[in-house]
Amino acid sequence: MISEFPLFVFTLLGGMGAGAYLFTAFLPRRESDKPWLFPAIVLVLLAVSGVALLGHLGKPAGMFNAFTNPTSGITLEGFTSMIFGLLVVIDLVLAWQKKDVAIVRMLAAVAGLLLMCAMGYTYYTFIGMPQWGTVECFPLFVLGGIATGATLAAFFVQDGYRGASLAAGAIVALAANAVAILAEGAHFAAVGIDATPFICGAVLVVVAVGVAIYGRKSDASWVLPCAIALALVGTAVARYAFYLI
Amino acid sequence: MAIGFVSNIEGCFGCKACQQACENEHLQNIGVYNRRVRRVDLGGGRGQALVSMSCNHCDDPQCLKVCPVGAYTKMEDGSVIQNHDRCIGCKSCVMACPFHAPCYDEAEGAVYKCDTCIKRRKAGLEPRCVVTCPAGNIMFGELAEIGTSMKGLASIHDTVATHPNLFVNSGKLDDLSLFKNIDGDPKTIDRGGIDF
Repeated sequence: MISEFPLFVFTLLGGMGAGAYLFTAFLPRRESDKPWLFPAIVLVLLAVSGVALLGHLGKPAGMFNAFTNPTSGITLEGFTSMIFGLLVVIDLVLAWQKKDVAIVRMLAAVAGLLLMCAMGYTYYTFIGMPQWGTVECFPLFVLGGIATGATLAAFFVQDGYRGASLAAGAIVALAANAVAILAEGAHFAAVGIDATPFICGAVLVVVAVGVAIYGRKSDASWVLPCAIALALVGTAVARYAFYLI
Repeated sequence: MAIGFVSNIEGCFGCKACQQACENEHLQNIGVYNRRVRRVDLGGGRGQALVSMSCNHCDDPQCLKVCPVGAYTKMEDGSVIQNHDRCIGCKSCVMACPFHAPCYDEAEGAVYKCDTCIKRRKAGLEPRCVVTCPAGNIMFGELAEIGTSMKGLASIHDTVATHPNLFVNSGKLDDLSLFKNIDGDPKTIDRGGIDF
């Protein structure tokens, strides 16, 4: 297992939850007798990713000191995680009460976007690791979160991938994610590290795009789960390769 | 005011006395090195260059920027000092430093870094690595003074983005670009006991 597996979990699951809110905040949600389920799932993702982040630290008890330096990527991740988490909790409480306050969801989406940007910024600042400290980190983490978030959002947005808006957004996000993965792979190759996992990840994501497009026209029940699995696995493969130091 | 080190690569024969003496001076666990001697294979039958380096107390220290608990301080004399008690072991400084100067202690879950033997300096003594080197290949002091202490010294200050304060007598090294990523360069066949 990679030494930075906790960070892999943090960025993959946290990014997925953050990315999902970008879709559910601006597209109509599916009618459900459990409207609280989506924010609850995102909260679980955030909680698991947060625990994973603590697992990365040598002295996790000192984490409460970790908000003193605004130029630190970890500090920014901490603040944006907390703000995003708080807004998700508010959305959860409102949903439990069968209320739907759009501004809360939109603010959560913005906070989630800032969280993904903070993730990219963190690795951008690690200039001691030539394979990490470059601008390619930003699209890798932001688009990775949006693309995996689109897969989660498909269960909660009205009409799922059959809806034109989510389908278009997901397809664009997945395609852009594939490009970001390839760009990062090219950078890894330029510093002498094998880029094959990045190519594999990008291929899986591109196949997910194709399946999602096919799913717009097909009634087959396997289409949506297949697209979701391919997108998630492809992004995870590339992310795992990123942390293979 | 800026202090820094001189590392006479031309004269170093890789005994690693400086590395061990530093570890022992600070009573750190075995394998936790504030100073490391890298072996660089020059290729073409030209042998090896031995580079003893600790923290270079950069003018624009990246460790200071990335530490989430603000454990690093740039002192008035130019040294970059870590408040070890604040460290949470996130290793951001290790990954941000172009030289990987901070060293993570797995047993303790925290990072250590060269502090220019600040306690010895307050007692009027030189850093341990300086007094230990049998060939006098390491010097420490005001940059204006040490920069002219030996013939052929070159500064790597403008070679690396963080503006490190290190002079080297580069010996058989063709140029100073190795210092941009010394631990990641394929010519570096021994990183002094650390894997990157």
